[in-house]
Amino acid sequence: MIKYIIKRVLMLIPVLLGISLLIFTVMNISSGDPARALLSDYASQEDVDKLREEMGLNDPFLEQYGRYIWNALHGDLGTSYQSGQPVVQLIAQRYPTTIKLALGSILLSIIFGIPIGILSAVKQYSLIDNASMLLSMLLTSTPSFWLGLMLLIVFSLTLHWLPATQALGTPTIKHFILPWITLNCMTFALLIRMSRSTMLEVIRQDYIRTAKAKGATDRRVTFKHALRNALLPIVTVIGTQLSVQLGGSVVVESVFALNGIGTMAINGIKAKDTPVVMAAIMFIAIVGGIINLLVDIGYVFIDPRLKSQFFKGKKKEKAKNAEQKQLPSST
Amino acid sequence: MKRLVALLIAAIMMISLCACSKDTNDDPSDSGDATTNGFVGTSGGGSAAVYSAKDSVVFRLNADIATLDPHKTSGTANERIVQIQFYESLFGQDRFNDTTEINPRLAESWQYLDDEKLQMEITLRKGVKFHNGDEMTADDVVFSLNRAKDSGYSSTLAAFWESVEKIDDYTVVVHLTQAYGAIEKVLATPNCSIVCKKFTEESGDNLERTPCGTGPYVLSEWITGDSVTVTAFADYWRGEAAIKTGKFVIITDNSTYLIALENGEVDISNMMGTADVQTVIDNPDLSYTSSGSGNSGHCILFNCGEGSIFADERMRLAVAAAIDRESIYISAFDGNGTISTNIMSMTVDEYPENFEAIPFDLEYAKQLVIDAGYPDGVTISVPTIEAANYNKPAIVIQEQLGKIGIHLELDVMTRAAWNEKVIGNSDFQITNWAVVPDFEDADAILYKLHSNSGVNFYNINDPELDALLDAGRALEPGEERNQIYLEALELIRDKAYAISFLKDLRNVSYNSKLQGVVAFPEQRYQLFNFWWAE
Repeated sequence: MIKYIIKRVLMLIPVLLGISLLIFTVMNISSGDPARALLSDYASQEDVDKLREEMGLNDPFLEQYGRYIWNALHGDLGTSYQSGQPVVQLIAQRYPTTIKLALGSILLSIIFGIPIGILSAVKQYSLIDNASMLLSMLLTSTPSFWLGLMLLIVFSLTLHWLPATQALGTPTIKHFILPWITLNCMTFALLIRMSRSTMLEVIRQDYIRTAKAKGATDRRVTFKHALRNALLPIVTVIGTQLSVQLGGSVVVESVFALNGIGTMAINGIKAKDTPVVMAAIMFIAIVGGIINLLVDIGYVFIDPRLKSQFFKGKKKEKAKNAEQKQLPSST
Repeated sequence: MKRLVALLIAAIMMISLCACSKDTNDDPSDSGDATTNGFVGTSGGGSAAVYSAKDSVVFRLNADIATLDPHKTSGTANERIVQIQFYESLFGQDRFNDTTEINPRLAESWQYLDDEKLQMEITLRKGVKFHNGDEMTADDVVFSLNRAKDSGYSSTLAAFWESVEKIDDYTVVVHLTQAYGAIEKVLATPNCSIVCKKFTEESGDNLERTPCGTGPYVLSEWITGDSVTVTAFADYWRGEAAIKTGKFVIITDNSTYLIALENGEVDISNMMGTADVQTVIDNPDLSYTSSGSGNSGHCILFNCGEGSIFADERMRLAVAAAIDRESIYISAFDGNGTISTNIMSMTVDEYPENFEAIPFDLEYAKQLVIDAGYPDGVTISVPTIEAANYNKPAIVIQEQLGKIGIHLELDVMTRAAWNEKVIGNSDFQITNWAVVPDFEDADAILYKLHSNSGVNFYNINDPELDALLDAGRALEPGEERNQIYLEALELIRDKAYAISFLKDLRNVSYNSKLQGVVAFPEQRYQLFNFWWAE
């Protein structure tokens, strides 16, 4: 297991190198001069050239890229062209908000989405099933931008139950409730449908019929036998959605005026702030890689077949070692 | 069951479509003259659910700010609003009765030492403290103006003076490069703010995140991308401000801002969606005011250089005759703003009333295109900035010019890309832009069309125009200056170097109980001027 984890972590390195080279190339060849973007519209070409020289933008491409990678390996992800702040500091300021948004949203989806999906499968074609499918379809079709604004109008402006922004006071959980609901909708709908679909597939299996025939209660059949087998695709979806949300949600951050990594990346792209864009995307890639690894590890614990193969391998090795100890010496 | 579900879905969709509509008055003629503002005047009164304390203000910005250094900034409106809380210049801009006045601020008095008006002696105000407790002296003024001059960000303004000389601790002489009638306006800009020499040198010339000025507020906290909090400077030379704490919060979405304003979470903003103006006017707890006309003029610009089809004056005049300003005003700007016939700012003394543009005449325009050698029309690419206030008028102009055989293919891009392509490389034939001068003066706007302006990306090379602009900048405000600039505008119109079609509004929406709010074309909103009504 440890070897597997180390191998996966090491595999991230060439992935990150590839991503960094791709992003650096794209940012360099795309139109827009970061030096001119910093100066006023009426800046002279002389001033622009002077600033480009100070920023190192006139150096050859490979020299710039090499310098960036060398600094990155030493923990320096560069300085934002726009704000002059170290990029690491910018990410440290914004990532907690993105993490709170993503984790809260995923938790809501798991807590409500999976049970509804299970219930829907167990009570197929019932009112609950139809209602959950309708809800799922509505949530999938609703634009998050519109939903966010509607929630603000109802819960913030009309009812005054929740704040619209973090403008007043220190941010607390209530500042995140509406963003969580907005961000969670797509994942919630997806989890309902996925849970329902995989559960339906599993509860039709022979071993489920056998379990029922042997007198197991419905609850035991559903949660001990069926759910565990249905969990693998659900965990995959959770992992994918978590990766996506930890990459920042520009729409939700914009509607609720939250200072997250999504808006940082978009603003960086617009202003051709290469260090910010590079750091944001590589950070997202690292987070995505770690989440995929965690999902794969999760598979081992969820799926008895994978687990038994893993431990079966260990048993074989133990038996072989014991056999070798018992064999008489040839001399 | 399935039929019931389908009916339910249809009902929900219909309800959501109806709920989005609102009864709004989109007809500008109902609010007065169609050629003036769509929304004029203020609304107010009524009790407000004031969520913020009575000595604090929450001011909304619509974009993040990059730096607090007044000399090293591209000078976005949001940055200036925050910077002027910390810094002041030798002169200041105050708004009274719809007019911007230039008044002495850190300067107490000034005079010219010579008849050519090249030596400007300024006596400084005594006892003015910086935020670190040091007193402002001539050394700080010399240091600041030199710093502005050496900075690539402010050098276009700083080109007006050659050097600054200290005479004594409270007297400096500014040696101008040329006689300039609006030099006080230049020295009033935030680019010419006075910073503390000692603090700047000790900080390694880094004022990006650590301001030290003479302004009424000090920096309390800055969370990048989120907010800037300021607190009143107790030793401010004009007395401590009534508003003790200010928080500038970044809310990019206009709808969210409006909800936060109505909810009392935010108190004021100088940026709002044009579609939200009526909502603010209709709310008795909120107030709205506008400057009547802003300093930004939307216009069509041409590349008049060799290789461009608009090097031919006939093509430019064809565009001028094909532009329907009324359509752009309604379709692209929702009836907000002021229809404009020339690129001069409406707030300067030299603005000519009743200036007539080239008359709208499609047949004349079509003939000009044929005479220019394009009987079958011509197709050209137009770089345009992605923001709505550039993209929307570009779409309307595309439709209008299509009628005379000039077919535009819009190339929508980010501001940074547009800057590089158009301003940096002159790689365009026609584009639209909003001209925002560095300060409110005829010269600040029109001199940009001078062949030696340093920003002549439109490749205008007109000796007659150059002569008029050179003559105008040396004159002080008066009839002679007005006449010079009138002639310059007529020349620009007759040769269609730039075709202005709209001036933006500078509007402010705010909590009705907040006092001292006036709309500022230059957007110099100082918390020092505000207070809460009881």
